[in-house]
Amino acid sequence: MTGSLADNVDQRFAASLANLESGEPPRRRQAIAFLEKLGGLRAFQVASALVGDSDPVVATAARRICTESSKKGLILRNRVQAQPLAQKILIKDFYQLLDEVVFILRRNLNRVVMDSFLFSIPKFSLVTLIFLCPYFEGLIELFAQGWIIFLAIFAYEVLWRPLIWSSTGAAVLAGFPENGMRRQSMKISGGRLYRKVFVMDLVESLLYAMVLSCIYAWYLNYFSSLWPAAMFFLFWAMIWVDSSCSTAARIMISDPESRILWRSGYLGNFSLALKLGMVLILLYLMIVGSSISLMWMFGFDALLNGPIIFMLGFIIAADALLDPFVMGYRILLTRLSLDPGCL
Amino acid sequence: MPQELVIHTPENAEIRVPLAGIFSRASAFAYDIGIQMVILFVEHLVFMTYLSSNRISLGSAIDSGFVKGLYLIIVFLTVCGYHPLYELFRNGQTPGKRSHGLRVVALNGQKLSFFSSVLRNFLLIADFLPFLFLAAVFSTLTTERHQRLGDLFAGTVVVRTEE
Repeated sequence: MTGSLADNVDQRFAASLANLESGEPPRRRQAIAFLEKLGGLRAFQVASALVGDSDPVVATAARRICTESSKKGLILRNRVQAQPLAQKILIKDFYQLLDEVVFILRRNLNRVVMDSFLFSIPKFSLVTLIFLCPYFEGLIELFAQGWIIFLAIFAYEVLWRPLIWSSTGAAVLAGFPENGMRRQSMKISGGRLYRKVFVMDLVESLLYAMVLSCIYAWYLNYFSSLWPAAMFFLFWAMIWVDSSCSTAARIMISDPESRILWRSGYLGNFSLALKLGMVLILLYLMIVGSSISLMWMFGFDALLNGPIIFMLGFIIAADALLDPFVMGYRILLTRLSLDPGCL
Repeated sequence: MPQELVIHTPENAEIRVPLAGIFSRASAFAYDIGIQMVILFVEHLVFMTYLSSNRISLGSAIDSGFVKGLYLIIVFLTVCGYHPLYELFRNGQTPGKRSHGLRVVALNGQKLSFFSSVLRNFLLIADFLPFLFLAAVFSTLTTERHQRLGDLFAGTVVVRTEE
């Protein structure tokens, strides 16, 4: 019995809403009269939208409903309006700068994750092959062929990395709080940008490929020490610290011909690069350590005693995971160096 | 995802407070760990001085269950009581958080309760797993209000203050 009464009220409420939407004054007046009689939150919600109605009878009745509802203690909470992202963000210290990179990545997380995953497929494939080494002897022989690995390293660093920059870089830009930067992310694309990034990134990527190749050559006993790798690392670090933001800057500007920024970002602020290096070492340690701990916890500890190359797999996987963060950091820092007041 | 904690008051007012990021929180935590280490060192010195002034050898003190127990209780209180003590009596701020302009508050913006504070700090053990707080990092990066596991269970959040 109660159920049917409730159904009846619901039906009449729905009918009165339909009458209010009709353009006929008698039907609308009848509907608002019903709502006044009905009372309660539902009537209050409808009446609050009709306070300024063109029909004075409907508007007066609506005001009456609102007044009565307020007297009964009902509060109508306004729907929270979608607010634009803040344009100005005060960055006070280094850690807040890193926080802001995370916020930027989170604002466009789906695309950043998707892009970085797609473009890290070569790395993840390599990691999979490395992890399969203990089970397939053929793979160990493959990894013993130095020239294949060196070729793969150079192809990845020189040809593939600019592709990551031009895709994931745009995804990172789309997460910036600044409207201009977000618009910028939609403008940049295509082969022309790839070629520009390729040229700008060439010196850095060649040096980095040399570092990796020297480490691998040491692993294969081609070199007796890691000194060549250390020397190339030093050169690469100097380039990276002092000038590599050019790639990030290249990503940002709509017309690549108009501005070339070679020295920016880290210029005059070596301590920032040093701090970032420390943070990255900690992050690598956390990811590699966690992976090893998980393998140990799930009973795969026998694999950890395998060849050193197995450990390399963890480092490459950590590198793939941290790539978007480093990219975001470099883009943000370059943006800040272009105009310190922009964020 | 919002980077702010939005609090609705009963008066239908809306208060927005910026959330703290993962790196500021990690730095503040490292700062607090440093202070805890100093406190532990001082406690150890006091303990050793007490033993020597009473002409008790370290070996016999270790053999004595009472002294060893007392020492371990003091260490336990220093390690586990540090964060709840400051969060409850310093308005949600440990020295590390104060130096970084951070504060722990309940989700409704109010002061932490004793239970919330103890729970969020007890769950640091879970946050540490599997190694070097990866669980905490993952949770902070993926949850809407940048909460680690302890925060999620205790209903707390770390915000940035303007002080």
